[in-house]
Amino acid sequence: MPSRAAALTLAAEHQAFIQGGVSITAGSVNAEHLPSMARAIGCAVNADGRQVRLLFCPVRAGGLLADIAAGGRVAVTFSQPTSNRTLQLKGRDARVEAGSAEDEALRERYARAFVADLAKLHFPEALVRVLLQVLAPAPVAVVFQPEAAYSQTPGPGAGAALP
Amino acid sequence: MKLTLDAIRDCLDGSIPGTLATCAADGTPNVTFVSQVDYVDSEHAALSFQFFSKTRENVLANPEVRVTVVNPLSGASYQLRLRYLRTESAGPLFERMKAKLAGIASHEGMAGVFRLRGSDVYRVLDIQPVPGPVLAVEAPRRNLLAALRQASARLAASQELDALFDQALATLRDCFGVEHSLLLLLAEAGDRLYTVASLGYARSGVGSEIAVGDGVIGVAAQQRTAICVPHATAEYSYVRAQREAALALGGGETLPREIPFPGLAEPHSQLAVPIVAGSRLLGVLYAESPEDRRFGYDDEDALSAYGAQLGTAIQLLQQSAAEDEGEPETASPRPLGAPVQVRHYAADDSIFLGEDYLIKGVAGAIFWKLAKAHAEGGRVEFCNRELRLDATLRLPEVGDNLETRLILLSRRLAERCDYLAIEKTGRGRFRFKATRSLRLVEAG
Repeated sequence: MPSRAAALTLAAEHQAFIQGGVSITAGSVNAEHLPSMARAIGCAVNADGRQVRLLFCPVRAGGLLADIAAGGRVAVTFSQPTSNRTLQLKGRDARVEAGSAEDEALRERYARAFVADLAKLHFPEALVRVLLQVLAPAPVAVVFQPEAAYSQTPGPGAGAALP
Repeated sequence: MKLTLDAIRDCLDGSIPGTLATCAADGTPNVTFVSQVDYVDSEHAALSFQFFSKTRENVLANPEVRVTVVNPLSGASYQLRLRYLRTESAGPLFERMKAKLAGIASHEGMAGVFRLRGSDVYRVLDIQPVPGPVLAVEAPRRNLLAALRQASARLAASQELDALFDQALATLRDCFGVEHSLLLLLAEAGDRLYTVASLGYARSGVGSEIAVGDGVIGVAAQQRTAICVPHATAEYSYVRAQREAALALGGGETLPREIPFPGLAEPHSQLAVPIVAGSRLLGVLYAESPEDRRFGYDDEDALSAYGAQLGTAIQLLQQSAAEDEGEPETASPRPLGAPVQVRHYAADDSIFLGEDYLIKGVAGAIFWKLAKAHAEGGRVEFCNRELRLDATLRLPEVGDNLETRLILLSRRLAERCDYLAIEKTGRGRFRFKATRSLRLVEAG
């Protein structure tokens, strides 16, 4: 990862993309460098475009949340199923927070957008809802400042760092 | 109970891409999509390696990775802990994945972008379900083991090679629900496959040829493994390639000395399995469908087992067909109809009846020998042995395809004209029937 002191400010276009109906998968690592991963069920970028907040089911994402709490490293890949457009963000200061009342609305807004994109590929809503289920009274949040962003859209430019 | 890859094979059909988490040497995680997580066996999975990337670098530095796969019908997710072992960039696994990826790429609008560089083989260390309820999945439309048992019994009942070829495809339809299929056998030289039977097409295409290594069928023969393409893709379309080749030559529907391949113009699913007898490759069984994802892993397994059964049945009947040989008779009733010109081109043994292409290669050479004996000496009755002893036909001594070639020839004659026929008169004996006299022209 490029060593950057300051957090990245996400371009408006990228902010809109990662807050839309895209597939979101986050990964972390434990002390032995074994990766963990889980699907996120919502994403919000704060007003200055420097902080990302992701939602998870605490039961389904248990391993990932434990690694983030212990080490703070995170990589998150956002991909639009209908276009294969893909973007990855990385950070080193990730922390786990309790979900808020607003998160419930964020979660449902995200679910609708994701269901709508996958409907174009003929995946039924019930199937998508299984992927986004929460087995707890409320989702939990992971908050981090992206230090690097990469385009991962399949093709020759895959892996290139974004400005 | 410990989960194995067998239990979650339905998640590996490529309809929902897997996600892969890796770790760099400095401990930075990386998450990416992987188009294909392929089933190798109950303890090994293969991931498609398409781009040189961070993932590649990480896997080589840190071979333990995690992958999430999803069942496309139930939504059940599983996390696999894998250890990277090696990359294969040739051979059966690679070709199997390459064909599948071409279908996936075309389906996702990524044709030309997705290209398989290698099959990364991983050992499966652990599989954990992601907790939570999932959707109920309908029972499969048929039990493939029961179908295979029934199909085996039907094959065993065939007494004649000629009938077996048609029976093999009818059984594929009746027991496995395959509506469009071809049976191709390997030519003597081992470089081409020729169609001896087809089912479910407007034209039979008997005699049409596919080069070993070309497309789904040719690669299945070359690698001796099942090759499956789950979606329509130009890269693996025979009919399209044929049309383009014909256009490149300046027009006509087909090449002058090619019998058109009879397959669907745009199959959405293709599956080819090798027909083997012991270690010997005899041919390829090809199934296709206008539906996407018609054939899954279980179909590959069932049809591969069926291909082996069929191979044994073919070999058995080829051997018994060659057993009984008698001396030929030389009866000679003269034909009555108007004479027809028969041209032979020695370069490739191609035969034309009037202006119509009939056949070439070994079957063409056999035809020319029969036609000459008939035209010059009025012979009608022949036996397999004299053909096998004729050095000019260049038939191999072992693994004899003669009976198959005669079946092919007789089918082509039945399709192309009403004045010539080859009829079996006993074991290893047949009659060459002509109701018009033949005017033979050696065209050089």
